[in-house]
Amino acid sequence: MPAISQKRAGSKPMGLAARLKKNNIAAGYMFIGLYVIGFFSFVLFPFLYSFYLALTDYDVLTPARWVGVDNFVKMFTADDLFWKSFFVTVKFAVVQVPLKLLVSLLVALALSKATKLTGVYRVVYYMPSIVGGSVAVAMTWKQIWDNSGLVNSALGQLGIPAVRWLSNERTAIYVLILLGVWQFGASMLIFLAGIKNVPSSLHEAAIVDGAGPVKRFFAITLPMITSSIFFNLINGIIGSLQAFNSSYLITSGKPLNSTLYYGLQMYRQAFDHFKMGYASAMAWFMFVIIVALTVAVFRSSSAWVFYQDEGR
Amino acid sequence: MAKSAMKRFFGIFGKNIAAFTVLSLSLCLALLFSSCEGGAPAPAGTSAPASETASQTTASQTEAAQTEASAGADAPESQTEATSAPASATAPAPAQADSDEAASYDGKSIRISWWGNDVRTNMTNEIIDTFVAKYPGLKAEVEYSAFGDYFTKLNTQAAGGQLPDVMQMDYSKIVPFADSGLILNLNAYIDSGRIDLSGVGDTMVSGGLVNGGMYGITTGVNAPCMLYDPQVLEDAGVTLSMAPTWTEVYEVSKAVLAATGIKNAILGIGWENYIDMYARSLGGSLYAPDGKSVGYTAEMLAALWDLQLTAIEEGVAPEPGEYSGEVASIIGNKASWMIDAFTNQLAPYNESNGNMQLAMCEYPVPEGAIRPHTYLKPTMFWSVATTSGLQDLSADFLNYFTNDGTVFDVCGTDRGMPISAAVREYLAPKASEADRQIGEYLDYLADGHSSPIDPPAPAVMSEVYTEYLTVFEQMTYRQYSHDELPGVTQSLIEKMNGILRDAAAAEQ
Repeated sequence: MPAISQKRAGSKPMGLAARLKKNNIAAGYMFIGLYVIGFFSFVLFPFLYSFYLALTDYDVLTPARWVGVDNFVKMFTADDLFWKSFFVTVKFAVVQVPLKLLVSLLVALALSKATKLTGVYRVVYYMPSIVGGSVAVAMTWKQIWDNSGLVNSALGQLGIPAVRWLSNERTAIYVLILLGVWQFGASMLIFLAGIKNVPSSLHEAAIVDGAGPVKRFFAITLPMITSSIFFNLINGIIGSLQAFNSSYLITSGKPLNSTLYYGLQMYRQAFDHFKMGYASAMAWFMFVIIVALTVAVFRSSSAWVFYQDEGR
Repeated sequence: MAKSAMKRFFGIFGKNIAAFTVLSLSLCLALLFSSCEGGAPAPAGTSAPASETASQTTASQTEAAQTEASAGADAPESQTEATSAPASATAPAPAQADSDEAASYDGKSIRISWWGNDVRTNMTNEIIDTFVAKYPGLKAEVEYSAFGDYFTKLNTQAAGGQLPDVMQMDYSKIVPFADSGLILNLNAYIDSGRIDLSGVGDTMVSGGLVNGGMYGITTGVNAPCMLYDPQVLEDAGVTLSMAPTWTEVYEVSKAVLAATGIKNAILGIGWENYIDMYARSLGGSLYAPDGKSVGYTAEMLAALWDLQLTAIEEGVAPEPGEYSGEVASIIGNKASWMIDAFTNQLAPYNESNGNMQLAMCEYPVPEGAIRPHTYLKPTMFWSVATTSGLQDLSADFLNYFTNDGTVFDVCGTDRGMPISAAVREYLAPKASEADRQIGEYLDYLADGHSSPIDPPAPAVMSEVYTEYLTVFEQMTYRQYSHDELPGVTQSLIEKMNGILRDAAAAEQ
């Protein structure tokens, strides 16, 4: 505000209301006002407050007690479940992110060809992503992979004995990964847009030069959509490291903590054990990991991401 | 073009646009701050009686007690007499509140929360409707959830100073809530007779005492028990005693499995009450009285787990993950012929298992038990928030629930056997088969087959139990041999004791 009044110092004196009206400033502030208030109160304040909490012992019922870095020390040195959940999440991310990229890219390629039913297919394939995060889908997924669920019934028809997918330490995490991969719709749409943006002149020139579809995919389409891959990669990494729903709803971390996501362990510390400080410390550790990974991917991007407008 | 459109749009605010912006922004900020300061008590409504206004402060206990004393003094003296002589034909009813006082609740709303299933929720809604109907203009806001989510919600509300006026409270939580000054010491209301406990035995309500103050009125009495399908035993040609040993349960389970193919789930479950009862029968407990260690030995745990591991290996107990349905209907689903419960769950369990008539016995114990292990437990409590603006009315609700027979016409023994002798007498002639069965079991326990309940578990119990379950699960997945169990249980107990000691140290 002062900066604005200084700029106008030379002009003839005006009432505050008139000045605001003339510059449409008030309207501008009003448009962003709600968002700014929301940002400060629901994003920035909790964000900073959680850092304070991470350095305290806080059980909600009694006031927070300052403990310094005790939470972090305990986390790194004396908490098996912290590391267990961390590595479960890393495994989940390492398997799910590339798999989901691959599947969404393949589906996008298939749907990029214009046919009469393309529109229908796009809707159908996008559907799981709209409903995928919901509780209902998780419960359905649980039913499908249950001991006497759809999958085992189907296997039974083929004479294959039933597998306890969700209570077998080796299979449970993959059931959850599959659910994540199945929700490929959003990244598929971005790939689809990227593919549509590849200038057809490039393909036409390549066809004239005698390049087949496979050659054209690797030499033209793939390099041209690296920016979409980049975007989906970052989103995928962040999303999978923050995963919570599927484990909480389907397996509750079982069996033998093989599906104990970091997010679920954090939730348990906060809302089962009421160790808000400890949970905040866990959140901040994951925040640092995510920032580091994101920075690393961004740094690497100059080596492999191509922008048609040279990034300008 | 766009600019002129905007101008036209904002023209409606005219010159007042700045004032409007400032006003709306400050309104938002005011809202924000008021919600941030939820920890402080909300300002009292002007029409609330003076005594209520005063007792809202979460001040020191002595101060609170004084204010409550003055609140209690307002209550009419005649209330104590009204309930003393119930006629068996009509429902016992607490004295009605004065009409002038009733009028003062016009436009007010009492918030009541509980955990439980749909059946309980419907019944509770019905009795609350009856309660608020006595006060013209009074409304009720009800909040309910499953037990698993209930205290997550309640703790969050407590942190925000937004606890409901009346809340269902658990034995394991009443101490931390009372110690944190979140729930009201009800002594003054009891002394004045506003909450009438004249027909209630002291042992019935002692569970609600924290440091000499009554912080919750017991809703009823129940006891842990085992429920089983008697038909299955008949088919197998075996019987089970009222207080079986683990060995007996194991042998009977083997016979049942051979005859019917039905397993026994309790042999494969790591529920902490099993080791609690095991230890209690040998003079121990789940947690040591000082809360700094567990109250059982590695030998006890290893012996119990050894038997359970054998049961899993031999297929008498289900494999981990073998049954994925609801525990409440495990017997009806033929996945187990026995399951642990509390007495007040008998009727719902009967229903969940296809209207079966389940039989009841005590938890299994080891050989050589030296004392009765089962205890009578306050099923749950009703507590009143210190931040409540309707404490007198809340006390009236507690009195209503305790002494009004019509409450139990609706709710039955869902929250345990009623604590008021008059209400129990009133209900006796219309008791259902399940109620009669529960009554018999509780009488049996009271007749020398029970010992006093242990103090509530320390607050850190959920963490300790997580450790317990983690190792137990590993055991059920056969990651340990029988020979390894003594070492495994020893290191588990050391780890749990470490958590308990750390928590106790942090509290000081």
